[in-house]
Amino acid sequence: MAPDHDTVLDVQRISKEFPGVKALDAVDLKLNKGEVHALIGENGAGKSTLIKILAGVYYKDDGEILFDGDPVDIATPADSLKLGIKVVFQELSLIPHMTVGENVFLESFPLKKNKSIDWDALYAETKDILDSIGLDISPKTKIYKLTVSQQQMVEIARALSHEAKVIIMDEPTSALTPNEVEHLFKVIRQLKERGIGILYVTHKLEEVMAICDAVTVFRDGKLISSRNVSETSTDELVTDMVGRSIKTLFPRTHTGRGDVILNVRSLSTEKKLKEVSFQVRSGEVVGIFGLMGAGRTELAKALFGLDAVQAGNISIEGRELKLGSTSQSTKMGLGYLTEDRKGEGLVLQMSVAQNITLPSLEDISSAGFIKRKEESIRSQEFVDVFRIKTPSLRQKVMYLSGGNQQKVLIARWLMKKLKVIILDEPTRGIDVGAKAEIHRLIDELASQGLAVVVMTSEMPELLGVSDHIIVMCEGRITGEFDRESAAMEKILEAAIGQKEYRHAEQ
Amino acid sequence: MHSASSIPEEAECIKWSLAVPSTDSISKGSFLTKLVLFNEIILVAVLVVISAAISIGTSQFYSTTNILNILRDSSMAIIAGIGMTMLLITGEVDLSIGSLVAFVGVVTMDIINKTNSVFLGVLAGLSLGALTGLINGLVRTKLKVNSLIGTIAMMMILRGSVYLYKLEAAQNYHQLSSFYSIGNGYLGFMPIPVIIMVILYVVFLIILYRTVLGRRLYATGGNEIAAKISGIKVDNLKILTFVANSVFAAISGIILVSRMNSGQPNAGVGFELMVISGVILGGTSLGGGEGTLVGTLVGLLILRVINNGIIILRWNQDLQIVISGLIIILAVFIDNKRKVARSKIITK
Amino acid sequence: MKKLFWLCVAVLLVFSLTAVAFAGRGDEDKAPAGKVPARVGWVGNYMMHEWYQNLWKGMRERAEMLGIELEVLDANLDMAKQVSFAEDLIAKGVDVLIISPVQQEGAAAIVKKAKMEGIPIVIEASAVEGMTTMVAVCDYDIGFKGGVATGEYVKKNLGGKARVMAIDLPMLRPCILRVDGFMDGLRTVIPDAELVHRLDGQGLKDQALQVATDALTADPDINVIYGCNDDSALGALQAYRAAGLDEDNLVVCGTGGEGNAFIHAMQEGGPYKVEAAMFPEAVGYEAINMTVKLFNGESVPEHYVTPTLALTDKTWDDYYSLEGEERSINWDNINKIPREDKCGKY
Repeated sequence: MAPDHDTVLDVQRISKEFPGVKALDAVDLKLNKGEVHALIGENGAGKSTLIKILAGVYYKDDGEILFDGDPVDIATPADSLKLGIKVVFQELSLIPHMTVGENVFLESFPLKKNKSIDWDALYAETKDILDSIGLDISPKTKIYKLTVSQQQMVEIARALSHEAKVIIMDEPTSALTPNEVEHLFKVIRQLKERGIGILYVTHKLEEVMAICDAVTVFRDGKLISSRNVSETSTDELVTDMVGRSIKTLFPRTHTGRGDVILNVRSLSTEKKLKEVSFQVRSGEVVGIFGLMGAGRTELAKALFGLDAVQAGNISIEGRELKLGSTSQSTKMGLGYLTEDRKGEGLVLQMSVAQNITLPSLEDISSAGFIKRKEESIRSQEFVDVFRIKTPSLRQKVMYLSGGNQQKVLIARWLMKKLKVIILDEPTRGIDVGAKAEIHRLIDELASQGLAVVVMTSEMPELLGVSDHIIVMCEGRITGEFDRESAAMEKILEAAIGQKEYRHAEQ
Repeated sequence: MHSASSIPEEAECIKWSLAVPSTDSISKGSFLTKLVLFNEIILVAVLVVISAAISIGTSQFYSTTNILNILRDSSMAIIAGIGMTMLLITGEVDLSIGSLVAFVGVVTMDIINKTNSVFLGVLAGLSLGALTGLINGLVRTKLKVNSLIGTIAMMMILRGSVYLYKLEAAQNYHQLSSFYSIGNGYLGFMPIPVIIMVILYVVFLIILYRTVLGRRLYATGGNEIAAKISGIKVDNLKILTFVANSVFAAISGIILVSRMNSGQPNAGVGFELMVISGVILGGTSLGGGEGTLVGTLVGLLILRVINNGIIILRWNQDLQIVISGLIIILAVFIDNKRKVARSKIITK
Repeated sequence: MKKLFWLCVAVLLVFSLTAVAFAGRGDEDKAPAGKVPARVGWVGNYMMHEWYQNLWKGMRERAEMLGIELEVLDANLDMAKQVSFAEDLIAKGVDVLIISPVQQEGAAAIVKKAKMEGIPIVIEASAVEGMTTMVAVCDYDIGFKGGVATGEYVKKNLGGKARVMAIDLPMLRPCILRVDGFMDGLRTVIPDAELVHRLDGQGLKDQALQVATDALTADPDINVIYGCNDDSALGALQAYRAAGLDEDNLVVCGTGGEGNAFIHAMQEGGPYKVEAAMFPEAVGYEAINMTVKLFNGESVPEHYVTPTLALTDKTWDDYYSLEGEERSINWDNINKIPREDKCGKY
């Protein structure tokens, strides 16, 4: 590890307890000047709590914090800011209808002699900061007009205006495109050169390997390991995070290709899709990739009957599917796990059992009356097999973690005896341990003979689960690859519409 | 600011993985937490306390006559409340039931007068209800008009139309005894409206909690898209619920016209607000997906008991609205606290 | 000789003028002296109500009798509409306006406008600032009359002891006056009459039913029911019946007579014995008469009181007759009813 006099933040034996739960148990963390230090761990591991303590939102129960070698007391957010610690949260804290400049200097307007705001100085300084991080926009632009990536940059600019010494980034790339991520990394490198220490909280291990210098792993409130990135590997990190060795994030037991189950021909919708055609076989996993706005979710919705279709047709096992009717789609054996699991997938106020059985009520009822015993038995099977962490079947799903909620949704479709299942971003926002489990389930689905379509924007997942990859751009299919012929660069080229890679045989 | 009582998300996540008992059984939370999580028990307690307090004030509260009066009078609102609860569970609302009660009353009385048949009159009233519900349902599902606005429009249309149908009140010409007994009669010692209410209540209690149909109502209100994706025919279900709701309101209207002995075009004013207040007081959410018939029963009884108590205690009648309003605010306040307590322990 | 002749002519002239002036009073059925306006416009405020339907009938009948063209518009509780309708009528060239104000403050504007245009204006029902005259009943007095008649019935048939349940509408002052009047009138016959319950029935039958049910549970020995309008009285009566109490021990008095409900109730032979009638038809009738007076520039009282009378189950058919649902009014008898100069209480 780097020598001590370069250490800007030294967290020693910090503990924090909440009623019934020890969130942090004597953890240590050292952050050096100009170092990008990753903080990883499953949901609930303690990362959030530590960050909130450093930000002054919570107060430590025990331990010491040294800043630039001196012990400090961070009792309020103001204390934290004064020290030079700035947190860029996932939910950005900008004021949408104010300008970039106003937001950047929100807590520290430059004043003229007569105590009125010196607007010229404000905008000039803002422009300087924006230039320094390569953000080429006018400082008078209103926030709501900017993209998420640009807003993130403004948050960073705000940190710089306070002459931050430590910047903490919480899941910074969750809403960014690959290009924007690259840009962010460039800015981070610049910040490093200025000697700013960066704490980088993320789920994406590939980013850790790409941009970070050191990585610390938390699990269950305890420090598990702290290493240089150069001296470790993804597998080792995953093992530390989860506490057991995961052979691989992408298990494959399914063998692959049966008959063609799903046949989509020249599907077009009014707004987005243009003559989309593809096939999925029984036991096959087709991964669909595309940037934001490529039309993946539109495709899923059109397939499922949630959106109107202008032209084209869909057939399942050779039988034509009536378009635009969700109940028809369900009857023909189509299942759809939505991207927005809370908004469109789960009925949050209903229990685990009730959510699992929702599409299958006729199977567990007689004469219109639900057979409760059978409902319990069937759902308990899934809870056991999928290892869904819930205190009881009657627990409302809103209390489950994201990963377990996703498992509930998958259980729902498995109960239904489907022929085709569409999974839209199945592991978004889910920590590594749960991700692996879901990939295992996807594999399981394929083994059972389903035609599986997985839509994802995470490259490692795409490459890891798919037998066959389809790339979409602006509502059209621009690339098709087999597992063997797939390569990240080619996929990205197709995704931005630069090149088209059509399969010879189809 | 660093309060220990605000539980962070991740801490709860760890807690659940240690298999803490669910919210269905007595949890390890503080007493206040438990109280807050069992909404219906609080309501029953409120009803008991208010009744006890009134009884202390006057011996006439707890007499057979009074209790039966309260039940008979509440039966109209409770019957309408059954329908309204189910409608709210699906995420919709109907503000036209007050006007419908008036219109059904006038039509029923008028048809009985013209045909000398109670059966035909009742049939006409129920049909009017069903038709109104059908229109409400179609306006919501086919025209995609928000049900609040759509049913307010229907309320105005009905209120105006009843005067087009008949300008004065419809008097009772034939004085048929079967008509009189609908609202005023007894079966044994039980008033007939109460019997009707109990039968409907029990039947729909079973339907809501034990059948596929009931489960689908909750799903439709809880998350309409999830329900659609699960193959539920959401539009048909909503139309059905609108029709049921209006038919229930029509039944109330028929009981009322029998009790009033004339069809009054100006009846039912404020009825919809009273029913909805009682239903929400009972714990059904305006947002859909949550609702309890038990809560509706207790909520409406509480409102009725307050009104009754104020009169027999000879207090100023203006207090009726004031106290009802305070109880409603209190109930919504507790409900909000309950929701916040719940959301504080939602994990990501 | 010439002087005497002219003296006689002068005396005769004085006599005949005085005779004419006196002839105009109290004998409304005759065609009034002077000209008759060709066109009269009425902007009502809530024509859907039975009261106004009957008022309109009375107006129509009188207008027909006098050969006046009557134009009627309904503002339907919309003050802005009432103003614009009034302006329309003035523009159309009516000779006199009648207004039943939606709102007293808003109607002041109409009064001003009419004055500016030189159009005489009759107000019906509620006083408006700047008005020349208003045609309306006296609420206190009719309540009083009802109380007296009810008191006499109680004295004769119910043993002389009165325990009263009054269904009021406290939001409207006229209703409060009626109930006050009733109790005062009742107490002139039965000085120890007790007002056991004074309830808010909102003037609606179903509300009256509900509050009366509760009150009767507390005090089943109530033997006088008074309603500030017919619906209130009838709703309370239903409650009494539903409670299974003995109707022979009860007397019910309603107010208004706005529709036929009270006639049916009286015809039943039940406890509904007294109707404090306000004769909406007569209000309409007098409003038309007032337009003639104004048209002729006669001086008129600020409040012209229209006839009210406590009808009983024995006397109602002197004034009304009912055929099916159509009722007709006996103008001769109505016009014989003495009118107060002004109200006992405002």
